[in-house]
Amino acid sequence: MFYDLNVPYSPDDPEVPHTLNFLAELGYTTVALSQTINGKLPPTLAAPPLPTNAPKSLQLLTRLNLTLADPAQNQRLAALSQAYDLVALRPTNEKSLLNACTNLECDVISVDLSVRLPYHFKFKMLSAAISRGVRIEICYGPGITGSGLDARRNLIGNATSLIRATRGRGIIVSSEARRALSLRAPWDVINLACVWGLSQERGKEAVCEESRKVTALAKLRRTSWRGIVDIVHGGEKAKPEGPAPKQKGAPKTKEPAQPETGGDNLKRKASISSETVPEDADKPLSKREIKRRAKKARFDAKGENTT
Amino acid sequence: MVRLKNRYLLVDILYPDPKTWPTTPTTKPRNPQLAIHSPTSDTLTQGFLAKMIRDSVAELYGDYGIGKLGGVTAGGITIKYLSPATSTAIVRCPRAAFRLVWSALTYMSGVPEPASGQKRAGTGRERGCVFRVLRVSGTMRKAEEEAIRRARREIVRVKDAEEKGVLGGLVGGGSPIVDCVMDESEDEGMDG
Repeated sequence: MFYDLNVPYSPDDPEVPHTLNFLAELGYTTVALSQTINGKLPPTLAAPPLPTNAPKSLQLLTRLNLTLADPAQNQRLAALSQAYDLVALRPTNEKSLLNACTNLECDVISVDLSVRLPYHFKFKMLSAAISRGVRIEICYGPGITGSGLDARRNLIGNATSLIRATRGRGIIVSSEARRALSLRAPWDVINLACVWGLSQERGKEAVCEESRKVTALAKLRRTSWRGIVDIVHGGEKAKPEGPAPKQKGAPKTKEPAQPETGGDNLKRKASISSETVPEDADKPLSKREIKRRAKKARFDAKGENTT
Repeated sequence: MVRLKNRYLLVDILYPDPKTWPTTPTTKPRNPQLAIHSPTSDTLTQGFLAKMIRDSVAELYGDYGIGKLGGVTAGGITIKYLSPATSTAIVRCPRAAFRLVWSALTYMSGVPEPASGQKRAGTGRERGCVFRVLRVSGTMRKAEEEAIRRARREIVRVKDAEEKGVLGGLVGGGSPIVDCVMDESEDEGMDG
């Protein structure tokens, strides 16, 4: 149930099995192994092979961190997202952050919070990203060990301002720990988030639900048509007459279908019954109905008299 | 009646770095779970651990943090229980400051290892470790119960893993690890 969506990884690193063992020991269930690319993309894109001797309780994902300096350099993001389970962008200046928030197709925006940022986070910019389903990531790793005092101070300051700017919504927390030593247990991370200004519930969501949403949404984006329609079951044997694949849809396709079948029947029943009530002879007439009829009779009689 | 409210943090010291794992004479493949939970050196005393935590709070929060703990002379943090063999400790702190203490523990990343020949802690180099808070509770009894429960489960888990290793992986499945995750979800005893 606990997610760590940023663990730096290279296949020939001898420390990897220790790190994964330790992650499993700390109670994480899903781990994204990330690869970082700066600048130009290599011609062939493929996720590095996953380690084979990982603990069984861990679910492993692949992730790409793409450093984004110049908004003009158009990356092949569509091709990238097919090769990796998650694609994260790391904007280095405000312009590219704005671009990443509003336009680019990615799953996570992960700003390097351990350096001093020369700009402020704006709610409008970040909320645009969050409403598109892109989450903002805080990596606690550089602030824990190794990177010195400044990194820790910057991380605390930037994380606080990021939380303030997003009002605590759409934030995920992950480690970016280069060594097993700077990993922390999930509840310790939640406490850190509390100290940074998230509430306890939001902090828990940042490690559990929000991260789960990121992985689920990323999966949906890759397998389905525009993230809306997905074929869950091909429907081969159950229906002999229907060779067309049964499309089990996401909410958008379901919505118009439901009121036609289920809802309409109910309504018709209600309307029928309301129509039949006054015509029902067995039922005694209400006083209101009697009055109305009397008035109508009077009116008719009057009309006949005048004509 | 006015009552001083405390929080008891059940803390666990983990050693993720394989270089610091104690060397064993046997040549059989080591169980990583066991090594992560390896014992702490005896030079880590209760007083020294309290001093370490207080220093870390001072480093992170400065005078404000120390003040929150109850000043310099007042105890503030006391180590109620420390077992180097199982690397477990129970730390008492004022309720108002438990998040400070907890985050200070999170930012700590090493226990002192005595240099060869010297007896006192703090003279040698540091041994990298991770302090994990297992439970926050309002009474010491609950923290103690949790510690016992966890220790018991660890033993069962490690024994299970050993048996499986002997059988050569005939019995598949990672049930002991799953059970750990289940318990991890409820390790929050934060009342208040």
